[in-house]
Amino acid sequence: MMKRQKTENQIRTDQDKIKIDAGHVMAALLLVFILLVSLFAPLLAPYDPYQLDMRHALEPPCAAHLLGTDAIGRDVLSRIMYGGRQSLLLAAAATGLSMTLGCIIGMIAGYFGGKTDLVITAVSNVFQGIPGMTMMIAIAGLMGSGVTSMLLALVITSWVGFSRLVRGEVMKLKQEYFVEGLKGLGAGNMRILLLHIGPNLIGSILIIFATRIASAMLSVASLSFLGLGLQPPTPDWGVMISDARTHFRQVPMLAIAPGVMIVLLSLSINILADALRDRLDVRADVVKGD
Amino acid sequence: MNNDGMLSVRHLSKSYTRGVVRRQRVDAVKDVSFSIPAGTAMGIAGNSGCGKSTIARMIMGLIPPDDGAVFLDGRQISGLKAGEMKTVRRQIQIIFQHPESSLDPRRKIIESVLEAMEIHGVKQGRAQREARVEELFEMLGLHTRLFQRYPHQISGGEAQRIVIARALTLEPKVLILDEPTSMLDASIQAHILTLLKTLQEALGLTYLLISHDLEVLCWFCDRIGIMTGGALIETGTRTEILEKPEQPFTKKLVESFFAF
Repeated sequence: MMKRQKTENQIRTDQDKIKIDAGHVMAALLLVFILLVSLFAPLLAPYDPYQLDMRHALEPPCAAHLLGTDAIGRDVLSRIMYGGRQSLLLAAAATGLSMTLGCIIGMIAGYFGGKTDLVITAVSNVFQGIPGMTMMIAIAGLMGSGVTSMLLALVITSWVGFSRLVRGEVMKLKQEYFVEGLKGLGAGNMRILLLHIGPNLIGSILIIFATRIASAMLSVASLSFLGLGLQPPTPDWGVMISDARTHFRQVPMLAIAPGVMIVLLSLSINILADALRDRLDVRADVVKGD
Repeated sequence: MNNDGMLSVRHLSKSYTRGVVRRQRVDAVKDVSFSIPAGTAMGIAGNSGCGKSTIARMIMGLIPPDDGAVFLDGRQISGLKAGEMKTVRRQIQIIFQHPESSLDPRRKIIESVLEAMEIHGVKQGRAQREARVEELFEMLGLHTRLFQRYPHQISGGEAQRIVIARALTLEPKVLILDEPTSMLDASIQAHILTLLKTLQEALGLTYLLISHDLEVLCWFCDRIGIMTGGALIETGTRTEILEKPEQPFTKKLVESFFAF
C-alpha cells in the first residue's frame, strides 16, 4: 500500500513538473496579446472605428492604413482592434451563463437521481437533438436580431453540454467513500453538493468552459455574419466579414484580416483548453486511482 | 432477541432487483437479528457479497431497510426523519474499508476532521475544536503536522487513524467498522486493531466489526456472527464458533481458518 502510495505521489510530482510545450506558450502569448489589444483598443487604435472617409474607401494596405480601409473608408486595423471586444465579451457571458445553468441542473440530476434525473435527462436529450445553429437562427428569428436574443440562443443551445458532464461526474463522485462518509457524519445534501462535490468538479468544468468559449466565439461570429447577432456599424469580426462580401475580390484584406483573427483567437483558446485538459485529467485519474 | 443491547437489529431485510429483461430479485440481507451489549464487540464474518456491508449501511441509515428495525440504546433509529437522524449520527459512526478515499481529496486533513464537529455544533469556535482534534491525534499516535496535508500525501494507516479520530470527535457510543484494516499492511493492521481495542477500554465503545478474516474477529470480538447468502446463520462466542460450530458453512469457514 505504501509502495503504491509513493508511486501515485511520484506520478503527481512528475505531473506537476509537466514539460512546458512551446505551442502552449505561443498560444498563451497570442491570447494575452489579443486580450490586451482588445482591452486597450481605445488607446491603441490609430483611428476611430466608426469614422467614415469616403475619399479613402477600399484602399489596400498602406503606411497610413496598415490593413487598408473598407467600402466606406473606415480603418480596418482599428476595427480589428475593437472587433474582438464584443465577440469575446459575448462568448464569455454566454459560456458563463450556460455553465451556471448546466452545473445547477447537472448537479441536481446526478446527485438526486431517480425520477428527477429521468425528467432532466429527457429534457436534455431534446435540447441536444436540436442542431445548434438552426436553434440559434430560430431564436434570433423569433426574438429579432440583437445581443439579447443571441445570448439567449447561445445559452439554450449550450447548457446541455455542461449539464451532461456535471451529471456524469456527480454520479461518479457520489459513489466515493468520502461522500458516503459525509452522509454518515450527518452532513446534509446542500453541504455535500456545495462544499465537497462542487470543488471536486472544478477541473472538469474549467476544461469544458475553456473549450466552449472558443466555440461560442465562433457562434457569435457566425450569427453576426448572418446578420442575426451584432449589427453594423458595430466593429465586430463577424460583421466585418459579412460587410466584406461585396468587395472581397477587390480588397481581400477586408475578409482575411477578421478571418485570421477569429482563427487565431479560437485556435489559441483551443490549444490552451487542450493543455488544461491534459494536465487536469491525469491528475484527476491519479486522485481517483485507488 | 431483545432490544436492550446498545445496538440491536431485528428482522432486517433488504433485496434488490437485477436485470432489465428478466428481472430477478436478489435478497442481499434476509431476516437478520442480533444485539450487541454496551461496551462489547460483535463481529460478522462471511464471504464477499454475503450482505455484511449492506447491514452496516442499513444501521447507519445510508440505505433504507425493506423490513425490520434498528435500535440504538433501546430507541428505534430506522425510519427516522432526516433531522432526527442527524442527532442519532453523533452516537453511531462508521469506518469504511478504503481509508484514503474516505477523506475529501481536495480538503486538508484538519478541515475534514473539523467538519464533523461543525456539522453537529460540537464545541464552540475553531480553537476549541482544534484543541480537541489535537487531543485525539495524540491518543491515536498521529502527528499534528498532518493537519495541513491532503489525503494523497498521507499513508493508508494514517488515513484510517484520521478517519477514526474524525468519528471520535463526535463522542459516539457505537462504532461500525466495515473491514477497517483489509486494505492495510499486516503490521499497520495489527496496530490499528490494537488501537481500537485500547479505545474501547478507554471510552467504553461498542463495536460492530465486519470482516472476512476470522482470525481478526476471533481476536477482537466477544461474539461472532456468521453470514452467508444474506442470512445470519449462526452466532456465538469465539469458543463456540471455533470449537463447536453448528452449521456446515461455519465448519467450512473454521476449517479454512485452521488450514493456514
